[in-house]
Parts: sequence; C-alpha cells; structure tokens
Amino acid sequence: MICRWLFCLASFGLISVAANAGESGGIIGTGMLSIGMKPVELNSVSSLARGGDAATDLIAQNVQELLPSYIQRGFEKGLDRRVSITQISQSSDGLPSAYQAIVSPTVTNLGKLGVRVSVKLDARAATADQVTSEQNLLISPDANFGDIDDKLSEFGLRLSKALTELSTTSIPPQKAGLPRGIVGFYCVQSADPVDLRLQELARMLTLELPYQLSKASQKAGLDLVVRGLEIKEVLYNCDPYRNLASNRPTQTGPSGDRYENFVWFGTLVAGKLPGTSQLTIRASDRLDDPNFRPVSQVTINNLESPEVSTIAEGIVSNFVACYRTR
Amino acid sequence: MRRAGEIQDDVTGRVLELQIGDYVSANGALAADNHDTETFSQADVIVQVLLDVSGKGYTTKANLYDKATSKWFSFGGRTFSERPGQKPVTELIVDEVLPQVLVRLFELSSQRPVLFADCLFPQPNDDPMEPLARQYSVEYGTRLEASLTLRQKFTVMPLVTTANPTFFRWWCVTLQNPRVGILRDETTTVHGYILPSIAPQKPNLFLQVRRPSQAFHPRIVTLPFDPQDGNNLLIRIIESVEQMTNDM
Repeated sequence: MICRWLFCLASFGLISVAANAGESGGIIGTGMLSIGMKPVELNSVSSLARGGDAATDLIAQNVQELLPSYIQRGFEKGLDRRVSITQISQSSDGLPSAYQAIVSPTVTNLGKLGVRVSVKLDARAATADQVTSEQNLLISPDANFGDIDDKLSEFGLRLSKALTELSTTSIPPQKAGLPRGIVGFYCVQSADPVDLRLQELARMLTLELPYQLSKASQKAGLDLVVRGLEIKEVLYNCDPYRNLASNRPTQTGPSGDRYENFVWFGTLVAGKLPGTSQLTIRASDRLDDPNFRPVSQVTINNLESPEVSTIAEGIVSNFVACYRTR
Repeated sequence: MRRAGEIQDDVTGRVLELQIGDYVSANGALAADNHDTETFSQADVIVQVLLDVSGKGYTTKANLYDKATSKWFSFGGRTFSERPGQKPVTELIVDEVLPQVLVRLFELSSQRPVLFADCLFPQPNDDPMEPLARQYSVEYGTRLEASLTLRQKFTVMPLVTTANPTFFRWWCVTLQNPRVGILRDETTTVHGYILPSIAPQKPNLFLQVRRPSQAFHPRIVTLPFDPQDGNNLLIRIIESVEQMTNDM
C-alpha cells in the first residue's frame, strides 16, 4: 500500500536556485565528487527463482529502487564529501572525464536463497589508469527492512572504502616518495596524570590539529587529507584520566568502517623548560609498515595559546622527511 | 491502513508546527482532498513524502518541488522496521526527512552562499547545561545574522530561532548532528559543543565551521564558555566565525 502526502510551503520572498558549485578533484581531495551510475540491473537466476518467493521479490524490488540512495549516502559518509551522482546509460563504456568513478550495480533475485547485490566500481587511479573492484552483499529472504537498512548502510561504507583504496594504490611518478591518501588522526594524550593544563592542551590539539594538518599538507603540495575525531569521540575516548564513558583509559583507534592509509596518535609530555611541552606523533602506514613508530617531535612553547598552524606545519614536514628516508 | 494514516497525521503535524523562516506551511494532503487548487498555486515549494508499508516494514522517500525553477529534488529513500526499544517509526521518518527538507529549502531560498548558524550542542545528557546551550544557540544566531562582515559574504540563516525547549531537545539533542549543505558546496555551517574543561573547571565552547566537502577536517576553535560575561562571549563567537569563514 502506498501512502502519499504533501506539504505546501509559501513564502513572501523570491525563491530561486543557484547551480551546483564546487571544484571536482580526485577521490582524495576536497570539493564535490562526481560519480556516474548505471541503472540498477535486476536479474534473477532462473533455476533458483523458479516458482518465485514473495519475500525475496519484495526485497529485490525495494533494493533495486533504493540502492542508489544508499550508495550515495555511503560515499558521502565514508569520503566525507558531497557526492553528485549522475545517471548514465547502461551502454556507456570506459570512464568519461566528467566522473571520478563509474558505479554499475546489479541486484540478483536468488529465490528462496535471498538477494545478491553486486556493485562494480571503475575508478581513475592517481596515475590516470582505470582500476576496477567488485563488492558483493547477500541478503536473506527472512531479513526485515530494518535489517536491510543496516546491511545496505554498511555496504555503502564498504564501497567508499573500496573506492578510496582503488585511488590510492598507485602513485604518479612526480609524487613518488611522498605520502598520499587519508590520515586518520586519533587522540593526543597527555602522559602526565596530574598536570591538568597539559591534559587540556592535549584535548585542544586533538580537536584543532586535523584541520591545520590538512591545510599544512595542502601547502606542502601533498595529496594528503587528515580526518579527525568527532568531538563526542574525543570526549568519551581520548582522555585517559577522566574518561566519561567508563572512567578507564581507552585508546580510540580505527573503527574499520573507513579506509585510512595512515593512522596517527600523539603523546604530550612536559618540556625540559618550564611552560613548554613536547608533542610526539606516532604513525602507522597501512600499506607499508603497520607498526606504530615515532615520526615527529614538535616543541610547543606556549601552552595557553599555542600556534596550532605552526605545530601542524612542523608535524607534516617531519612526517615527509621520515617517509622519504624509510 | 489505519497505521499508515496515523503516521501520516503525525508527520504532517510535525511539519505544520515547525516555524520555517518566512514560509507559511499548509497541509497539501488536506488541500488535495478538498480539491483546493489555490493552495497549490500559491505555494512556492511543495514537499511530498511517500511511505510504502509492507509486511517487512516501511520504505520512505521524499521529493521537493521548487516552483521558481520547476525542478523536483529527490531525497534518498530508506527502509525502516519497528524494533523493540527503538524510536517509533514516525520519529524515524521525521528525523530522516525533515532536516533534509529544511536544509534544501533554505539553500533554495537564497542565490548567495548560505551560512547556517546551527546548535551550540550541550554535552549529551547534560541537563544543567541545556538551558544555557539553548539560550546561546538562539542569541549567537541572531548576532551572526546582524554581522555586517558576514552579510557581505553570506545569507546568514539561524537554524535555532526559538528557545522552545521541545524544539531544542529534538533539533539539538535528539538529532545530534549539525546540518551541512546539500545542494551547494559553498554552504557553510557553524555549530559548537559546550563541554566541561579539564582545568580550570569551567566549560569550553568548541566552535566549528564546516562546508559539505570539508567534514574530514572542520575548522575548530576553543573558547572559554563563561555565561557570566555573556556579551563578551557572544562578541568572541562572532569574531571567531568571521575569522574562520574568512580563512576558508
């Protein structure tokens, strides 16, 4: 049964629309990301779907209809960017220059065995070569719409991870020897359980550094973006001495639902001179060396009001130097 | 059928009770039932919500029609089902659809870049701080709207225009996430979190400015949140927003 209802809104002002703006960059970058999507194909495996299964038919039909929305939401959440999806024809070949990736989804009705969702991703790698990946999802015929919502939401995030991975595995010759991709920036923690000022500074750096690190990376000409934690995550997970969730020290780490090339943590200790502190960044490289090792030490001279942009530039510069000498 | 009718009534009620900028809301379903074509011809925007009810749960989709450009905008569809301990379906639909409707509506209503002044979020379950968060969410939005510096660059749209506790609980506590632009990448959102500081024991305001494609690394500044010196606090918030939006 379909129920429709409407709301009319009238205003006394002039309403108009502006065209979508936004630069179109690579998959790692800023601005709106343009993706082409072929129509969702609905197939059935005749030997399995024979006789039909009403529950699976209903699921297949709904998944076919809603899959593009879930894919778009997954990309936007996983890549933290606005994603513009344009419908392209089924017969389109290759990867037109207007799009950073092409998504080709297929929903297969497997009768009493459920529904299989397959999505082929064609992306443009940093070397401009076309790279491909395929992701699959199985949905049981017993699943209700709440379960399907969970599964499709998770699948959307998985697709965004696959797309990021595709675009970061090859490095153009001019960027060889330079780090590129996504940095997951986690907690900066104070090593001193007594010094409250240092703990306050650690929290402030956890929150303010990611933006400045991305900016410093951009300034240094790197294809590197830094993703920080949400404020709530910082509050609940980063302060080992007054953790609001459990009162026990915890270390927030990669959650697994997002792709990251590098993971960074920070430790703050009091400096040798009064009123100073020392920030050490430890990093792991997902593709090369997953062990954490110190990559950067920066001295902070003003604990009350530190120059966060300068600290960020120091970290990025040290990280590049360390990355080159591996 | 009765269940779907109840959901329809609840969702319609929630939309009609919202104060949406300069807009006046009318019940389109009722107008359609009464063959009232005048309501539709006077409308600048039509919002349509579709609910599909089946044995496996609910599927919802929404569309927005902008008469000025004769364009339909579709909102992502979603499936739901009722689960024990979960919010009622009406709430799930309202929480999913209404923020998107409002963001699109506000973006459509200005040709200039839009600056949303969204919540100063209290710490979750921090009741003592909630009234202050509510008060300052309204006040800083009004001040931002009056800032000449910001008005040169943006159409400033405060998203918390009422100190009504029920609205604030829903918009700033239940929904939790700040509203970022959907139609345009230059749409900028300001919001903040009021959290207890470690030392000295006074709260801090973590003020953030973000654009849709910069969510990875929103710009954040930390300000002491001292309501005893409210005017100074508001001045610092406005100055920080002016500076942060200038640097972007």
